[in-house]
Amino acid sequence: MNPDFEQERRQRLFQKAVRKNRDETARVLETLRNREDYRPELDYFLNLAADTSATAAEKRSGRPALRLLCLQAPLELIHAAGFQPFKVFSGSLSTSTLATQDFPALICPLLRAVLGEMILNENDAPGLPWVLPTTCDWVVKFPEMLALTGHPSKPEFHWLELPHLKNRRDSRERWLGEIWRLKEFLEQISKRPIKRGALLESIEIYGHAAEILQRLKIARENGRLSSVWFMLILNAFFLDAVEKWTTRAEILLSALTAGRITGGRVFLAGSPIVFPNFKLPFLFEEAGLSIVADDLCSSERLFPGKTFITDTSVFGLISTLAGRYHQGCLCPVFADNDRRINNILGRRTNASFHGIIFHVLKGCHPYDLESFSLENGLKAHGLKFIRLETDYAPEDGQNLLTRLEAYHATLTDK
Amino acid sequence: MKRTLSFLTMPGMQTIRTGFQHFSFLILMYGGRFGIHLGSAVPCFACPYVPGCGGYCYLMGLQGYIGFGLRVLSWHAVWTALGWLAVFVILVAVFGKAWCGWVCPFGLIQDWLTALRKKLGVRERIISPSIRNCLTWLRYGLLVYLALVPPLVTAGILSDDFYLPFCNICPGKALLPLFAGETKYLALNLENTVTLAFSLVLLLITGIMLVGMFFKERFFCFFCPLLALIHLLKPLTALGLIKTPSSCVGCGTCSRACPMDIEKLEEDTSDIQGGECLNCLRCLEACPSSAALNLRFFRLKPVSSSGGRP
Amino acid sequence: MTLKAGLDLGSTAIKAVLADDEQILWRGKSPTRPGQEAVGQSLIDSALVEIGAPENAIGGIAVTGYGKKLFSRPDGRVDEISANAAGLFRLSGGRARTIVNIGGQDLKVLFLNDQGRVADFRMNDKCAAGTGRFFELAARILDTPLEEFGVLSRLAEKDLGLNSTCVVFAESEIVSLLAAGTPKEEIIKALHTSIARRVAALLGRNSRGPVWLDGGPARNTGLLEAIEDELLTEVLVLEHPQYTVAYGALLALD
Repeated sequence: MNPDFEQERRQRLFQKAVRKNRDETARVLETLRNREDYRPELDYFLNLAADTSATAAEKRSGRPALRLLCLQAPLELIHAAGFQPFKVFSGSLSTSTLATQDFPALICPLLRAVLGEMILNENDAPGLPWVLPTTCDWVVKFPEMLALTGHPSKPEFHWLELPHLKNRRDSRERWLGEIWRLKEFLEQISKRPIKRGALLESIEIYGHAAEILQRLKIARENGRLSSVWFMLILNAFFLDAVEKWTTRAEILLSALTAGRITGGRVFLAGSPIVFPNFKLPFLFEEAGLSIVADDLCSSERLFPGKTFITDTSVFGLISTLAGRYHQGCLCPVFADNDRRINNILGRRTNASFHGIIFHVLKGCHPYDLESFSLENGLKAHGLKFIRLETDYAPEDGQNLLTRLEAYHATLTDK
Repeated sequence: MKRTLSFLTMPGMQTIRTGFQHFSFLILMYGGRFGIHLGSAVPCFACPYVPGCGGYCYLMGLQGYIGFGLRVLSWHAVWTALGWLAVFVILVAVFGKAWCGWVCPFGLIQDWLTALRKKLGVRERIISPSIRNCLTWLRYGLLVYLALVPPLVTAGILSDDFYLPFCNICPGKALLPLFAGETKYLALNLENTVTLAFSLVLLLITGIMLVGMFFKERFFCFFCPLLALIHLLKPLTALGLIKTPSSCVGCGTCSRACPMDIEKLEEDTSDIQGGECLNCLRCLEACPSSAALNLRFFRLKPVSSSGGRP
Repeated sequence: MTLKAGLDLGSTAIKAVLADDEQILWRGKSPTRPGQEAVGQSLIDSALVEIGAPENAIGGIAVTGYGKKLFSRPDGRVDEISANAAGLFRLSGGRARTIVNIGGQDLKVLFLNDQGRVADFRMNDKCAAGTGRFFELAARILDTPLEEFGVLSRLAEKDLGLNSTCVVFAESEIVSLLAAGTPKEEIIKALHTSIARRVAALLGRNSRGPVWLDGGPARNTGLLEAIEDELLTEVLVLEHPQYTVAYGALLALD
């Protein structure tokens, strides 16, 4: 084949993806802005979502962005080292098409989108290493996949070996070791030690953010904040300094007026939903369903609740953080994850929902598998259950909607 | 019906507890000076060696009645002993381990040392599970020791200087009287070899405990025979901790918050109150899940974990 | 006389049912094409002419199916799964508990409670394997009208078994079977078996009592037998299996 022709073809493909990505984001933002429940206090979050690059996050937060996949690295530690923790965005359908050529047909749409994002924004804040916990197989193979795309930045990866057992003492000790290593690593790249005071301050800051998250959850439960906005706000969490995010969310919370949930109250479980791929949240609304709570690592589980400190030494803080981020994590990659169902059942006390929607991203095997055991357990508690397996492509919208509507009809039956 | 006292689960329960501990400290350490005396069966370290104290630790009574009662063998002595035992059992049955976490003056001293350590940013040391296991045996061993030695004194096998075998080595006896200006229990008692040996052991133990209590929160409680005795009465106790296992996500926040590092809290059952529990309710305050951990009082659940909800 | 009309705006055909309070008076269908509202309306109009009812006899129109949002002002709008349950439950005299619906581009399994409401359901995702679309494709390749499938499959001597129910892969498989001189009858039987397997997989272990089959392809007796063979339970079909959903929509007008 003519190399020039191939070069040109790639160039055009790239341009097309850039254009489509811009349109995709703009379209979703436009839809959000035109909603009936839009209010000016949401502009801040909409503006954050308009640019989800690491460069933008760096500029807004004034800190170098440290890229993360997954959420087991304690954010407080990264923050105390002077970095902006930045979970890489992975919700764009158009960018994910850039990363299809070199991979298996069935690949986690999320990581495909991350790869696409990397290809699309080649010059987006290169430099700092990434922090990757060894969660699922896709994440473990991510550096390999990135290398296959021929990406020029060739970032370094700092691995956190995540013990897939939470309830065993030796696993916990190993994880604690990993967090100490992470601390050393962060000190190395920032060229300054992480002080006790800084760590305490970061814990305080994230503790405040956790309180706000709690209030956002309550606002969603009683219908003051719709789930689409809730998800947008949490998706925007890593795009600015945590203090600013917290302040803006607080302003929004105090501006929210009384609301009421009209449709069927449901709990959303399963694979994450990342901006701009809000296909499902919009479909839920169309089918008259209100998500009143969720256990997605992209929204309610974005960061763990308040850290309860009893030992304020560096050792004590690191141990507490390590435990909180490991034992407290409900990701399905854990072998002893049987108490995840309790999180759903426990949320029923406050959110009082009648059913569960379980979202499986095609190719996300840990969630896929766990959906079956959860289905049995939840049905035994009288909850309606529907499992939706989908990816970022819009063509199954009609099929999903049909199912959601019928599911909605079943919710009201005993 | 909801009986949750929500104000108690707001961050601040520990402040209330600290306040209550100080109040109890004043009563039990100085109450006698104002005519307050709670009797001889207080289920915590209300040390009788403190001049003008407001109540007596039941351990002293227990040792005393066993030894003294056997010596006198009068109906009166038996009735008195049984009477104080009944008072003790009732006090424990109603308030359980709250005596340890909310009332014990020696517990408060330990908490002061912990506060100091926190202020200095010194890390807490952790007692390994195998050592904790040994300490459980030691606690019960001390209980056996303080119950078995007095009869030996009565039988004439041991000298009268063994009369209160636990008090003789109790760091509470060395430290608590200091707050009433009494320093003599820190001095060596040169009366005879037994008293000298006891006072040397007491000094040694007190020294070790002071270091231990600085580096490990509630270090002494791991050794406390009174804690063991209260735990023995657990089946009768109205006040305690109870878990709703179906609300627990297993995040381990409870056991990390626990001053005694009780891992039993994380178990998938409703009875999660470990032998070392002090009923301080810190686990309950720390728990991020609504109503996963509850304070039990008879059949009520007056306080439950709020999951950080106002 | 007030009549009620139910319209099922499906992906391949638009089905209409007219009924009064007691019985179904008219059934009719038309292939789906743009302007679904007009198609539906004209079906109703021709129904009125045929049964000799005045134009204002229609008391209400309920719509369901993929195109239900395209109908501007219906008196009722029901999702097709609830409509299917309601229609078949009524028509089966309250006996149906497990329903398999083979639609134009989807395959559904419904479980009903004793009141005839949907207790649970499953539906194929994106893939059109084992749906009406699949039959249409096979009919085109085999150059055989769908109506003959049932009879022809009975003539098959052996059961080949297709490797794929995928619309795309099955096409090449059928073509190569034809090229190898395999009789049409055997290919059709194989098609039925492969779809029956898919139905069985979707149904899982949950069926209760006999399975009621509806949707267009339910008229295919060969398919019915194949499903019976696969599930080892009785499979029942009503006289007009294609109209249960439209009828169910109409019932929602009560």
